[in-house]
Amino acid sequence: MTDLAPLSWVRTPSLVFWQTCDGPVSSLEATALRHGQHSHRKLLLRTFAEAVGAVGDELGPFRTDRAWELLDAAEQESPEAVAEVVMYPSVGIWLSRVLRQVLGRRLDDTPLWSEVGGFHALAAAVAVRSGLEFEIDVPVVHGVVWLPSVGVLRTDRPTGHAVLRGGSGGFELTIDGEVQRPRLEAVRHHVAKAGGRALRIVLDDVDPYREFSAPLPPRPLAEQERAEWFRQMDGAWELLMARHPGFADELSACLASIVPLAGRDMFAVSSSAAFGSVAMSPKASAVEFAEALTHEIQHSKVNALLDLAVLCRDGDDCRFHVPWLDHPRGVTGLLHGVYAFCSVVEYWFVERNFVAPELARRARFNFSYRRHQVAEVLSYLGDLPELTDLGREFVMGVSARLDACPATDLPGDLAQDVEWVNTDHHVLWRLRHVQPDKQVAEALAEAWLAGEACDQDFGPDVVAVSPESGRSPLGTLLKARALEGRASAGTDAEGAFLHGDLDHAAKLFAARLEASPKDLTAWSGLALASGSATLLRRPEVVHAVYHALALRGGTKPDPFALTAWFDQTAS
Amino acid sequence: MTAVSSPAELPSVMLDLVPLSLAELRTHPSPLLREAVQAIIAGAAAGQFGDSIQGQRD
Repeated sequence: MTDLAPLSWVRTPSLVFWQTCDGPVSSLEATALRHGQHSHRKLLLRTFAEAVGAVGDELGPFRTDRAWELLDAAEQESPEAVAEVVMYPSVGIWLSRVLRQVLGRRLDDTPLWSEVGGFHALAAAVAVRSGLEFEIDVPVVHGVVWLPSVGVLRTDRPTGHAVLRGGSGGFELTIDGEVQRPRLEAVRHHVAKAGGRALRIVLDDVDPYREFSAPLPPRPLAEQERAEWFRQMDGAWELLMARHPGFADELSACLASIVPLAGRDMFAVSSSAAFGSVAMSPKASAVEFAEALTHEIQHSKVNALLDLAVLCRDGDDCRFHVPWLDHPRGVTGLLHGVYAFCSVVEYWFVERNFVAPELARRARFNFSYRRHQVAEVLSYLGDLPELTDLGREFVMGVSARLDACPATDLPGDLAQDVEWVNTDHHVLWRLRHVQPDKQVAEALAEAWLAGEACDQDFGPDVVAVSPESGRSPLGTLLKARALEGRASAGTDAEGAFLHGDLDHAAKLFAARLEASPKDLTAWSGLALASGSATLLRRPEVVHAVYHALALRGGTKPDPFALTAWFDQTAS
Repeated sequence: MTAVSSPAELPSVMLDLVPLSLAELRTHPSPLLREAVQAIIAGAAAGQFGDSIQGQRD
């Protein structure tokens, strides 16, 4: 086929970029973002077509010729069905996985034949949606046959392959010569209506790739659970339509599926490979449900934008602190975070004026906490050399949006606690992940012992990711107090801090260091309680010098004297 | 922020494959398309191809 027209490039109007920077997008911009994702999926399909040809005999019945034939036939009937299935969120996850598998990267225990067989499943789903009569080999994994965007067919075999016949008479599976009439467990469609507008979504509790991971068994919700999810979707949609019409607009244009997560520990998740899908744990209220949707759809938008425009280079070099995660992030992660959390700030900026009285403090906390965090990252993000001009414009857009949500009427105690919580996180992050220069630490130790001034340059940050994570006890208590207005405090260092006796708290943290010098949370507590400028700014250097001195002299220096020495003379 | 309404476009970084049928997609001889495919294959070999998860915990 050599007479095909030359390919053109995706044309992305600048308006799409500017509107995306500005915040919520309309269906016009969403269509452009989706178009880019569609083109990207097709590029991955072409890559799959080429790469799978090099795989040997291990595919069993899943040579792809038959699947392409069925797809071509289905496309003749319904090109829309092909587009809709190709763009179904879980197909993006499957494509990302299968490509890496056929290109030789082993991801987990999922066998190659079953992952490649997913292409047959995709063809079968398109055939179902096109109304074709068809027959094709399909894989059975976790006891089901995957039909993306349709649901799963339940069999009595845990794994293997089957011949699937489909059409007007329903489905028939032949496994090892035995014919079965499988039950279709369909994805659930739901339409939330409010203010004369509808939000159409799929609640997907059966798709093997729904959680953006290796294939999982279906976990269909009980009727009562499903009804509760629909009730919360309705409540969230009503709230968004009433008070956040911009976010409602973009959700109706971008959101494709919601995946219920079993546990309650994960608030919400999205994936760069699954445009328009949000996986989330159950929420306590429509207010939280709406917040989670508003937040996660921003990541879909940023991921789609990153495929259309170069916002940064070397964006995966993880060396930056972000207050919402315990581990270092790269520039791409920073862009995601400030953009998504800025929307959360905007959401709570409005919502805090409407929530029920019992939620008022939590709403004010969420607004203040996220605003403080976004402002912290914006304070350095715009100057990073990794950003392109477009990336800098993107950051300026987020900054302007944050400025439009001033933190003017917050109670003083709440603002102070929020600042402490975020500072504590930053200090602890540096202690865990920033490696001080050993030569610098030794030279500073020499200077201390010689009674000289601390005039050594500390050098640039060298970030080495540590597995340590989690808040300090003080950070946990401060966050609880900020959220609830009070926190139970004991007689230890944290208790003294919460009671406002910072001098006593500092002494108790210093005493804790004497007993457990490797207790990093004692160092972060001392930083907050003492207010030492060096300990707050470069705690890892003070920590390293303390240990260098302890090793040399056999006795530990007084942490107060040491921090005072740093603060008096360090630049 | 000032929204720009000029007809200007972002610098193109992606081939538009949406108009292609699936048959055209897998046989199109465009060198640019081959180059794009090779870039993905090279990225996968270097461990640079994959998806990223964005998540938040309670």
